[in-house]
Amino acid sequence: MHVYLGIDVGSVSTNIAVLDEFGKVIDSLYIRTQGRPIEAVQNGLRQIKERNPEIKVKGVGTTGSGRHLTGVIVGADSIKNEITAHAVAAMHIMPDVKTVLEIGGQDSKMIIIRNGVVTDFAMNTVCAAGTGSFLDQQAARLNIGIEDFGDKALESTTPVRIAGRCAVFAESDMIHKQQTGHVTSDIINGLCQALVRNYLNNIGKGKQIQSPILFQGGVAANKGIKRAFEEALGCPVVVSPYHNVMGAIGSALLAKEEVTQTKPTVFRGFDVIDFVYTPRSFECSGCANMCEVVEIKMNGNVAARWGDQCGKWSNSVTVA
Amino acid sequence: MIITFPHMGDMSIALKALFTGLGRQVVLPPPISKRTLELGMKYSPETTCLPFKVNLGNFIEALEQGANTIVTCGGVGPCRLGYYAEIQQGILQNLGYRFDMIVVEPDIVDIIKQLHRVAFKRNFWEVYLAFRLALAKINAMDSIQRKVNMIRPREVSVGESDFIWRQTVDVIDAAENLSTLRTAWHKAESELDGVKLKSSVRPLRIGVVGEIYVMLEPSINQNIDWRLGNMGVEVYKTMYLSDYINGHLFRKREYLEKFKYLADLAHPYLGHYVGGHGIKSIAHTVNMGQENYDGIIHMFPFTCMPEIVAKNILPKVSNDVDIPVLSLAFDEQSGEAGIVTRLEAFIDLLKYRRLKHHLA
Repeated sequence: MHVYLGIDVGSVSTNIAVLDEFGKVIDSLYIRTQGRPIEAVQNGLRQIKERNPEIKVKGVGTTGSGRHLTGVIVGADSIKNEITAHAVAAMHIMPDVKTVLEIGGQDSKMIIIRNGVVTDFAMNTVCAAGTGSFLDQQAARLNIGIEDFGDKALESTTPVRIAGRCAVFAESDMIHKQQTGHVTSDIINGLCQALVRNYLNNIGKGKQIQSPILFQGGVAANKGIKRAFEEALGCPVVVSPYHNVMGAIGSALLAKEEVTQTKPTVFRGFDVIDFVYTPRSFECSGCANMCEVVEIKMNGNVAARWGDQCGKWSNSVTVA
Repeated sequence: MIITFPHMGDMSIALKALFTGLGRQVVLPPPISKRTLELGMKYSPETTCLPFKVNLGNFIEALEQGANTIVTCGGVGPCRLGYYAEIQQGILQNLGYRFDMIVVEPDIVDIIKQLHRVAFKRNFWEVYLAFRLALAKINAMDSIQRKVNMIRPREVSVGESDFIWRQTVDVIDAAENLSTLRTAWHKAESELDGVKLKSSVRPLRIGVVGEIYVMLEPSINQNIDWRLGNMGVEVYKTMYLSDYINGHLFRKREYLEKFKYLADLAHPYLGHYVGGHGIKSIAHTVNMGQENYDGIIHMFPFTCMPEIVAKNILPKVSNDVDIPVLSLAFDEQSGEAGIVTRLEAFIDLLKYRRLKHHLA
């Protein structure tokens, strides 16, 4: 079976999606990056190969903050930023989508789409209060599994107001409410509302949020957040069935576009699972820019270098 | 009197020519590095804007190398630039540095007065010559940079125009009189005219608006001209040092007329002065929207008041004149990856948009 692979290497998770030639998702995988992107990618590809021994890869796309590194490791046909990848996937799943809400582990974004074209976007800059990592932490502190967090919020009967401007202050607010005797479910619901408020005030500022609205990213699994969005926006919010692998789906679709337009895939094959990759970095002393150059070796040979502004290092590599 | 001054893009080349011409020894601050930023951050008020911190780092590093007179600028209006010199002077004195600070106000009479104070055994004619050479260097560099920004997305062999630029900067820096300077300038222009260009490329055109310091200082703005150029974008910056000098200091007629025109464009959105370049950010966005640019990048230092005013008005302008705007705030921790992701996504947005307009 001919397939397209999409690999999304983010700060928290590494996701892989396998799409058939018609763009249908036939398999997907969500694993933790755990600070070791190369191993995560190799590990993920191994699982994909074991589960789908029949597949023949026609194209590979990478996205996420580890997209360049991953692109070199696997041999990618398309290396695209996560905003574009998420937008492409959203339009694939919901062709008439007008607003995409995306909340991941360490970033959150909003994408505005009109008539199938991205017209505006925003991404969080300086604050992590509206992201998955914060919810993770608070769930751990309250000793509630992150999977049960949303259901717990739905049990709430009385609203409790939590300050959502800053993760640290939100936490002290929550502790205060808990010590004065509020029910856990009410506090959790209050936190969901605070997170949504913070997201809409920061990322949604000046944006025209119109329905249909698609909600994706890891946090979309949280029913409490979904309900808080619906209450704040006054309209239904649809959670994508593949909400946690949308970036990977988008990059597979981008790879599909890339290879049909031009040439066969540059995918190195599933052999990369066992290749030895050794990255290193150094500061170039050639001029005042002092660029931090990253070099990656594949089975002992330099496969790529990047990070230099003048091309002295990146252009000196001949093996692509 | 050993003179130093803050960095801002290639300004040091012109100021070095000026003060050397006035008979003074000059110590340039070392190029802006992580250390510069660390020193500046350590001794600055935490919430002040980024240029303040970088300037302060420049001063400390220059004083360490033997400078004893700091020449810097003053300012008027709501922008915090007007307070920079006073506060920086206080901080440096508390740190135990001994130095003089000459604060030049943005006013041609004050500048002449201050230059006279700095000049060492130079007559009026010699002061004039030094001043003229410095200005000519700025004009030459800005003119060449504009051209490089046009060529970069079109050149067949990537990096060719940047190579010419880097070589020319050194020659301009070394030029001791107008005729050597002009020869170098013309040589660079003709070399740039000879750069082989890809035919049939119609690059995206992006206008850059916002605050002058982050717009001109590549070590702070992550070398944005170069980055965008290599992503296939023709970059048009709305502010160069020469624009500032010709407009604000010499009050040249063509510039004043342009200001008037721009103020009229901004008027429906912002009718009064908010300091810095706030009005111009709005006006240029309207103007370039009307001139069918593909998009606008609005850049400013984090917490910059005039530009925050502009940022909150720009979504309305963007909607009215139908041009996408990306606002980028620069601060000490601006990560490269964050900027690159946003630039790439913005360029994708503009490409799809152009494709759609083309099909429609």
